[in-house]
Amino acid sequence: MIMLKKTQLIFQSEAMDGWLREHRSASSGAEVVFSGIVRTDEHKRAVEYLEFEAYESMVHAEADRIFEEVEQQWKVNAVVLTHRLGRVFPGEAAVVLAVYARHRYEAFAACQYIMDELKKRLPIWKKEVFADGEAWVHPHP
Amino acid sequence: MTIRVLLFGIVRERAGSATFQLQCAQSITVHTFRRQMEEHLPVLRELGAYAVAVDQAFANEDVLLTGAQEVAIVPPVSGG
Repeated sequence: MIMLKKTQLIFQSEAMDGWLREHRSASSGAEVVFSGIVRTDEHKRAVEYLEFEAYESMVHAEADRIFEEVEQQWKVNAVVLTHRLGRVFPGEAAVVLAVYARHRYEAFAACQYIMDELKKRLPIWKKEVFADGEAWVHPHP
Repeated sequence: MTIRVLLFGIVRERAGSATFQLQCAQSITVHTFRRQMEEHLPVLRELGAYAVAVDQAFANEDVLLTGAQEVAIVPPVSGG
């Protein structure tokens, strides 16, 4: 089976609803979903919101390269990745990744791999905005 | 020759623009491109590390920039 690969970058949280379940099918016994949620505090400061921006065309190109690496290592039926842009508030998901496979081992492993690589390689940047200031986050040179 | 450079995140903010036009007499490597960009945008030296992307892929230091590719400065990423 050819792996289905989809990446979307969106501004509205509502657009995340329903996006994942469209890709469910009975051939995949495992659906592993990771959601990255904006925390209410960072460095002991209250977060008002995070502001995301992306080099969108490269996000799609680099995500496809990561998905190809997944395809070479595990038998996965589908990978669906969605990442928010613009302002994302505490309690909202900034990223949601769903991996579909026949069995859970492949789905868990691929989900972990994609999230690790996403954090290192996808050209997406976030600024933390606090009540008393703001700062770009630069954990991965 | 002009290399049009896309800027993002802290680099875009500090440059006050989402693009930068680098003038060169001839094609240059990514290595040389970095040195020249650092002269124009001091924020790049402050960052310590940053990547250069050519045609939507991370580029090695010896890739030649001809003016025909899409070139971007990729500051340390923080998605997810």
